[in-house]
Amino acid sequence: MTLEQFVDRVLREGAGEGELRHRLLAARPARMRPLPATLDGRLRAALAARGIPQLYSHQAEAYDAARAGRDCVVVTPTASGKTLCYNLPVLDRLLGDPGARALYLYPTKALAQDQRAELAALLGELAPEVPCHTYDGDTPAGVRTAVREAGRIVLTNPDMLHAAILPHHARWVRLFENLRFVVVDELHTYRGVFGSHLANVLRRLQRVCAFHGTRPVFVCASATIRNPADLGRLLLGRDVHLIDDNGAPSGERHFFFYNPPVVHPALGVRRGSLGESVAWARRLLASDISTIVFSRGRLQVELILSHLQRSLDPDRAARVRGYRGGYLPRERRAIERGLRAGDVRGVVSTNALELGVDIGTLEAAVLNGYPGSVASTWQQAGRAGRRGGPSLVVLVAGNAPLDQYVATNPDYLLGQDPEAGFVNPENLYVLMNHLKCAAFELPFRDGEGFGPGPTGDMLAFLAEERVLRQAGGAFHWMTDRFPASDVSLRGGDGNVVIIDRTRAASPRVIGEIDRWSAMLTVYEEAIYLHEGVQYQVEAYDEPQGKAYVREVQADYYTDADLAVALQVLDVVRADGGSPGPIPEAVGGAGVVRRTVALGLGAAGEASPGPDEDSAPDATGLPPEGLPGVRPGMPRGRAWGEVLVAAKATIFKKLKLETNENLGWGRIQLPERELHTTAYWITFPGDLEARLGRAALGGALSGLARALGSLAPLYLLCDAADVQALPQVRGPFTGAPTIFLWETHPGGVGLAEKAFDAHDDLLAAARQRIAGCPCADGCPSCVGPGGGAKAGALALLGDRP
Amino acid sequence: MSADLRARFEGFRARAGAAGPVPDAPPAGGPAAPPRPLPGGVWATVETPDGPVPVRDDHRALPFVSQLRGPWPSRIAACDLGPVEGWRWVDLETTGLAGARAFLAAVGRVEGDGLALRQYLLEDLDREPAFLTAVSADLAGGGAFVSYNGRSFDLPLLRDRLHLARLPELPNPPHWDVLHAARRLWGEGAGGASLRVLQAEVLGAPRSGDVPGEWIPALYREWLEGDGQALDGVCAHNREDLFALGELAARLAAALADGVRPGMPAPVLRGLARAYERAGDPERAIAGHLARGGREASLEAARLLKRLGRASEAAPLWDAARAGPIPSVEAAIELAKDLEHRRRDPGAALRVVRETLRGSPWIGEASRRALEQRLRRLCRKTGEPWDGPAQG
Repeated sequence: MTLEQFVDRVLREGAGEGELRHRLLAARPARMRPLPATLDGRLRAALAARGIPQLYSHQAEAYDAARAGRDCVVVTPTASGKTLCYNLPVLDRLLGDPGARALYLYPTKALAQDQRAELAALLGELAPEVPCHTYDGDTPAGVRTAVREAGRIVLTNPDMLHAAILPHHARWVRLFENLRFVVVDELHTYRGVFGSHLANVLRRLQRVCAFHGTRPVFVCASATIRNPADLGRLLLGRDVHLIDDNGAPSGERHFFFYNPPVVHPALGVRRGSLGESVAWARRLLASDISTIVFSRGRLQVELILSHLQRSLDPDRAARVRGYRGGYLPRERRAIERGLRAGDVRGVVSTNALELGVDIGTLEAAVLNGYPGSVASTWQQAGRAGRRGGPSLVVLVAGNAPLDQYVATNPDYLLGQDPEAGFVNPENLYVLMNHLKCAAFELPFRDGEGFGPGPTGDMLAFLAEERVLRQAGGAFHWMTDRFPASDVSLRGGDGNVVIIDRTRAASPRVIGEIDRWSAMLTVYEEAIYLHEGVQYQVEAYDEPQGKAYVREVQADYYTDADLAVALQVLDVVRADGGSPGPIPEAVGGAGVVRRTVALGLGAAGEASPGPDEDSAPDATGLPPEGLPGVRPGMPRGRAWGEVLVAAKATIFKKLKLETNENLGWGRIQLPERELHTTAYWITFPGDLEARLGRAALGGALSGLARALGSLAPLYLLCDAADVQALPQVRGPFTGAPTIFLWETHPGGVGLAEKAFDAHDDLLAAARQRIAGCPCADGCPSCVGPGGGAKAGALALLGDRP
Repeated sequence: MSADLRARFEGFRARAGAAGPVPDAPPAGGPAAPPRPLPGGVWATVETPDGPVPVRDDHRALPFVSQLRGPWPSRIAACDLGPVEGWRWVDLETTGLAGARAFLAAVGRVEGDGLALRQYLLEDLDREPAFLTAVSADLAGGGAFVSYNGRSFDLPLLRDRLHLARLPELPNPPHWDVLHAARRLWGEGAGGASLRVLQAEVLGAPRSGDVPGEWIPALYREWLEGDGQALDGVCAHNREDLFALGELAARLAAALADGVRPGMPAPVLRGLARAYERAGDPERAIAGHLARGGREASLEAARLLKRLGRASEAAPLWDAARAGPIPSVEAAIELAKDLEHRRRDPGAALRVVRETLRGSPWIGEASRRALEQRLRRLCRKTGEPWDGPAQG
């Protein structure tokens, strides 16, 4: 069955009991420009041989800009020929200038290896004398010297640049003295804490280049985001030329917004999106339409994979594979090869595939739940129809408030600008660490800058700490530490490897996860799923970062509870007539704030538009149910630094099909601490006395849940970037409090942004809760449970 | 610095890993103020275009120094080291490992029957150009380099620092890194192959009161910050290292010149044999192995004999090794190969393989497969019936 036939049939016959909304995005023709006259003849011939007689307009524009020495950011949707945007100017220069070199940065090792293969193929025909190499953790020691000496194009990732190349720049003299281009691909992935780190790594890169007498041109490529030029400017610390007029064609794209049927009207519970996604994928694959299913968590990926494989005939089931970040490189490579060759027809993936790994043609994408951001949605949708043919995207809504909002307001998503990339290179934690790395690489002259802010205080502090030594007008590194090894660009402190010892004689590493996830997935007795196979964790050596597992057959999965304690360390800003000990702007005077906030003013634009499908509640809400809460009740807002301590406490064993609780156990793992920033709302301190602790607790939890799930929409961040935490009586505020805390060390500015979006955030929570059709709380608003809905609304009751 | 900023930094300190380990240390604050007292001993000054560098000279007699004039050093180093007076012996003390800088250098040369050394000191971190210029001039003024692990550590580090200081590159003369040969010869008998351990166990001169290597970066820091005595031990350590290097190199050459003597302990014979093999003298290597005796030594000797094309001498060694209480599968296979191909007696080869398979119930899976494969082929070749396990 063709994709069009499938779409027609669904539209004709309906999609079962759920609600289906269909949107069609028209095809767009290509806009072409001739090959530039200045292009090297060999390059011209190689392009012609590959059937590229002319360029898309954005490719030509990128070539012109880079050739003229302008730093640029090319914004390219999936499959619009972005690699040529940078390969063309770089190869043109390298062919004409035998000394010139280029450095390519990709966010992952896998991407760099992919791109090298493509580049090497092109160079093989064109100029075999131009060596290009990847440089990463897999590069054998013997090859490393050759890469350093002879690599004309070095493809690497920020982590290697940070820990292996920059600190040893004396060994990379030939590269740095001849560096003409730096390519930064997938620029949009450098958001949040990772982006804040990258911005500092690029500062170090430019500092080292300057020392070696070069000033390379930066050519960056980004998926569609709201603020590519701003992001580029912040990451590079330079003005950038934006190229966002896409000349590539795209095929017709069908969007199905599918909301599963309500199975429990009183509770407002809809059928789970996981099963519904499996049903869609099964139907597509059974119609021989190649399909990718995206799901957010690794657990869900494994569950969908096993359900899907069971529901298909053996031949088709054998051609469905799982794909996620924790798989080892060779497993991933094998899946990618299978996709390209066509012997893999279905893939169930986490967002690992969002990055531009070339997987060839897939016709349909099924999104299990709203991916959490507009940009991710487009990235995942772009996986379908890569060759300009028609494609289908099915977004299966979950019960979460954000999902429900998107499913009932499809035009919100389609009309919405994607999120802004948000970085804060001046985050003190990040900045200080990179300042140390930079000082290790080259001494800091007195008065030398590092980014826009002054460095004097920080250098003086590091000298007092005896990390640096001031001598002869410069600050010199003087400890025997290697500072780059103290900094992980992706947050966290090293990963945990999963070791399968089912066969005692030959234990093998089957995967890798970060420490924070490890706390929730590889505690002893946990069921760990990998490629659909169940393993039980026999031992978790937390200090060594090793989890030992053994294959098992279990009819349940495990789910951990996380206890979180939060302590306020410092209030940066606070206002609102809240009683209690929050001082006015504690620490405000004299505090040097090096905060660069992006897209703050845009928060208002992200407000949900009119709700076309569900009846909007235009009347405001009478506070009811909680007589103690008066309209006009004072509420305070604040943001500042907090210390979050999290500990996995217990786990539940839940039956696979029914989620029935089969038992539980304790988790014996140490607490993990996170120093970060948070935004919080305080309510009157006497509410507890007036309402009783239980009612107030329910109301706060309900509101926290709604706020936490809606916040990503206003903060334009990922759902995992902030967490909500209610406290009936906050130890610091002395009053009922709801915190939204950032999950990245040091914070990346989301707390401050939430502080500024305070009114919008509360209004949206109120709209979501009041507009929800459930009787008294459901997973789509405040969560199921008595009293929470009325209570949460009452806490918001005085909003106009 | 404002108190608030200070407080915020403090909050980040533990996490940022910036903490200095010495809370009660005096703050360094402000530019350093040379001149500070130099470490113990008599220091002179060498002038360079970038400024003066403190230097300290020393001299010590070197036992077996004549051995360094013989052929063995060049054979061990596998390159022509040139006249011994031209060699520059070098050892650095550094502020850390990868990416660190050198702050103390000892450069030695053979003079008469001893080793004369000069130590160069980095007076402060901003004086590096002068320091590097002086050290580099001394090194470049000679021929070959001699070091202990300098090929992978000291010299690359020095080259990096010279480059970063934009000073002329060092020449690239032959380099005798004594570490490798010393490890081959004595590494097994001694409890490791650090210079200090070899000095104690081989030269019989354990050091007392030596500064542990891991303290050295911190001691330099303390000296920079005004503790005048902090570097005394480090300077002594640096001198001892260079003198020990000289003596070790001479002993190494002497040991190889002496050759294999009966009654030497087995580990020494083994080390000597390996050193000879490496130094391109297989005859002495074979002699060393044979003097040691035993299954492993026989196999080593046989391997060398085979490589020299003297399989007829190797064959009895293989035969003995395969017949021992724990038969060697390697020996059996080598012997079978020899019988089949050189002596053209596939029947005898078949018997050897068969006996080994039957007589050794505990041989490993991979060896068993190799033997069975050979057996299968020999059966086919000789027309004898296959009596191994079923195929597949």
